[in-house]
Amino acid sequence: MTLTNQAFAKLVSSKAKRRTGPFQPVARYDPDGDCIEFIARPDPFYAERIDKLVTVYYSEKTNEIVGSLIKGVSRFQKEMSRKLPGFVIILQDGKVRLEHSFLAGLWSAKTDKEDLRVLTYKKLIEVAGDTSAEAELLTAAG
Amino acid sequence: MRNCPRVKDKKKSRKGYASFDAVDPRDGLRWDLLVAHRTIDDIGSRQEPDRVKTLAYLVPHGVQHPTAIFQGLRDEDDRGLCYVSRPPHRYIGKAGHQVPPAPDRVFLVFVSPERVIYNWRWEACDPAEQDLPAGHAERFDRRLL
Repeated sequence: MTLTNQAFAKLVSSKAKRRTGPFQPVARYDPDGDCIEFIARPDPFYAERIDKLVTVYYSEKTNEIVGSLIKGVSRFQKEMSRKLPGFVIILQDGKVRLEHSFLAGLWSAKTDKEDLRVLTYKKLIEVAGDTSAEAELLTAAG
Repeated sequence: MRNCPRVKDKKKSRKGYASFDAVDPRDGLRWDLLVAHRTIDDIGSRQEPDRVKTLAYLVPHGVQHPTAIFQGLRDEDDRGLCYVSRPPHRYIGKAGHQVPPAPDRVFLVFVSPERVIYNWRWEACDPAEQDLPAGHAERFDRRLL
């Protein structure tokens, strides 16, 4: 059944939990978009797509990196496993460490070392490493 | 069939997903888009009121009042849709306060080829066409609306 806007807003609001402690960084795999969203800090953000793999989230307050979106995760992992067989080692129990994904993205990017994209990848690796972010890879629901 | 979609194409439902109205890029009328309940649960569990309100109010607004709808990304094998809009406000902070959006931003909602909404976010607008995202000409395959 198609929900009215009011009913949809009510449904979403009913799932909202009150914050009980400090913000916890989160990385979540979405099988519908085959993407991993990583939120390191709760700042309002704007997004900038740096290549076909990664979109970076920048804080509206400070312009620092506060998160990211990795797209085409399954295809990227297959591609990396073919190009770099050692890459499969970083997949443990269906979980993927984000810093490793960014590192793999950096390795596969055809860029100069002074390229802004390389610097962004380096910063993403640092932010993901600081939070030990990892995402569980799920399959899409039927 | 671009100008004459079958009525049954308009409605969409799937177990584990909520559906609501959006603009159908084929004819400018309405069709259903889906959001996974697991996505709604996840946003709720993050304890971020601004994110909750963005999904609850801005995402439906964005797909019901688009300034443009694009299909496909040029450098990816992606046939999904991107709804672009300029909502009158955004939500920020621990209380999810409603404030005017930055003037140089547009709100994007990404939809999979199966018509599932999976991501939404603010991006910089094109300085020359403020209703469109920066780099739209190089980024997307084609504009549907």
